[in-house]
Amino acid sequence: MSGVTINNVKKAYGGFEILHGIDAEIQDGEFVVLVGPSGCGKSTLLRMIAGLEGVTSGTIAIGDRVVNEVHAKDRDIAMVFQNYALYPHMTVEQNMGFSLKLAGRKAPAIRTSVEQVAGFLGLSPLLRRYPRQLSGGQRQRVAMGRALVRNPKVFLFDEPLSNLDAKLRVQMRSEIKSLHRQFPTTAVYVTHDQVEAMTLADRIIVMCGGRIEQVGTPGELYEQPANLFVAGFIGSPAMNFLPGELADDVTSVLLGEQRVSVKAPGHAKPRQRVTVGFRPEHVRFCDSGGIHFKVADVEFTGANSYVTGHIGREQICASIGGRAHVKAGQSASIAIDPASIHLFDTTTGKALA
Amino acid sequence: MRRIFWRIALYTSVLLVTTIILAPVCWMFIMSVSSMTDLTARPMQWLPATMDFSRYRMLLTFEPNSPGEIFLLALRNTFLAAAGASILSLIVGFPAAYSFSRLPGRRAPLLYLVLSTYMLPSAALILPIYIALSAFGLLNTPFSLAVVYCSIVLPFVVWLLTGNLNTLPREIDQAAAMDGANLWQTIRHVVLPLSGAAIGTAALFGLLLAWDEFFFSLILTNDLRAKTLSVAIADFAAGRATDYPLIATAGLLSALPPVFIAFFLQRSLVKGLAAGSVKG
Ligand SMILES: Nc1ncnc2c1ncn2[C@@H]1O[C@H](COP(=O)(O)OP(=O)(O)O)[C@@H](O)[C@H]1O
Ligand SMILES: [Mg+2]
Repeated sequence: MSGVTINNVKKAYGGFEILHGIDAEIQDGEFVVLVGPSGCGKSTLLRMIAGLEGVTSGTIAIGDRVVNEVHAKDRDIAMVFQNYALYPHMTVEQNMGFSLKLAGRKAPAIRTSVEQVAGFLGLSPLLRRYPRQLSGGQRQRVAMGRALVRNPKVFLFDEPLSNLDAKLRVQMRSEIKSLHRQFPTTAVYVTHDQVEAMTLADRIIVMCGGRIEQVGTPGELYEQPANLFVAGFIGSPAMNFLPGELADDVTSVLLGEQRVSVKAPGHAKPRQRVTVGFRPEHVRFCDSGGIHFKVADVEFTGANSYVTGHIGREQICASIGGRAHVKAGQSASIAIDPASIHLFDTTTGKALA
Repeated sequence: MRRIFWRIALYTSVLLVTTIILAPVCWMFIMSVSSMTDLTARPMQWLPATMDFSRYRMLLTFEPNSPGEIFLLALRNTFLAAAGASILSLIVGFPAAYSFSRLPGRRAPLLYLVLSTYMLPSAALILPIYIALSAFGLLNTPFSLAVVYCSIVLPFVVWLLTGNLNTLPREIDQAAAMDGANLWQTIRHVVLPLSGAAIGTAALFGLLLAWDEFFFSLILTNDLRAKTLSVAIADFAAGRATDYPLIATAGLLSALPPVFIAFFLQRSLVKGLAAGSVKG
């Protein structure tokens, strides 16, 4: 087991740079999720750690060893691919045992290891089958098993659950999590799904456009997003944003015609233009004296109701536990706890903190 | 009503195509069991008075200075040249195809260059090839014919295998690399076993391309040590007293091996050609 250190790593394809200097420190045994919108370079970064892509500049180290020039096969890393990439001409048992066979282990030893991991993943009855005879979920499990058998230094996952249906995805998610608890090996997991990131990660690296936007625990990202991108990306439904202006004493902000008290940091300037962010789940309906809110639509999902509507001309969403007592077309009054309001510099997009 | 009409139209066209393909073969068979007088009689005698299979026996019996000797040695030479060309092309072509399909770099122009040699007319190549072979004392051997046939077979094999390897997901090679396989192990344990159908198809096409070849064989061979079937049959026709039934028999017999091979490899053939259209 060892950590992964990524130092000012850049990647260019034919002169076109797609990763612009990535720095990250992944601790030994940590489960880190790389999350970001499609095309932001997550897979590329993961494949560079794996050794499947060259590093244009910067260094990647596994443990204490810089591996830029080390071939993928010699990095002692296991990877689970999005399309599983099982060997179609080998049985489940052969798929899982292939790495051990290459490593020169004897057949009985390979069998023991494979059977142990297969038992663990519930694959024992399937060992004689070929990948084409398996369901999507079973193939996924075999891909995991193939990685687990090796007992590598680092696990890499590239969107391993994105080809599964929603129910299976939730189930596999919790299985991966409990697996990591039992075998705390360093893991880097790529996904574009922020819910997957929040539920799996010890720490999350949020990427956008080839850059790291923020690194932190799920709690930190949710509670203290460093910028507008992270604030909007983490959390579902997404954070509401309204344009506003700090008052002269910087203890309140003007939202449309309403004055809302906020906790702005010391360096905030009077009359500064800011973007006010607050999460749907932090909106409360109150009887009177709050912000004027015109309800446009109410969606009842069972546990929650999502109420969309407008403050002035800006659309926002509120998430209320249970049933909402407002109706479409109605006017209402809402309140937001000052402690749960986030302020961002409108020009830079950075959090005021 | 309409459906019946289409059905009839379909079967009629199938029948038509089959007839067009099979008619010459049938005629060749009839010729091969006719007597010379049947074939030269006026008016034309379409069916022979008696079936005479003596030419088959003649061609398949090895006797010095007989048509049988010529035919059987030519059969051997053709087989050596065609199989040799096919095997050599696979040995060289598979690594080339793997490299075109998998290794980074700007190899696409090179692939087109390889393909363009396929388009070169044999007549343009024959003189340099003749001079080179004669300088090495390699004229008139089935082995050198096999090497020369590679110039026809190899571009085709590279092209076919590259196309097939391109349909194999790269992640499979990469998974093997992550499992600790080096290039050779990846090819040996993963890529080769998954390319069986394509290799079979390439081998078969290589065999067929070389089996029919006439021009190179005509120029580069001059006696029984290396002469191939296509040239031997032409020789039968060039004799003073042309024996039509004998030529027909030789033609029919020389067509049998490729037909048999194609028949037995049909499954692999279809699979190899269709790879990529269906994901397995
Ligand atoms: N082999 C390549 N050649 C050129 N551009 C590439 C290549 N691979 C990926 N890219 C580009 O790099 C960017 C990041 O890709 P990727 O890492 O796959 O994104 P993600 O996994 O975050 O969706 C994309 O814009 C993609 O078009
Ligand atoms: Mg990706």
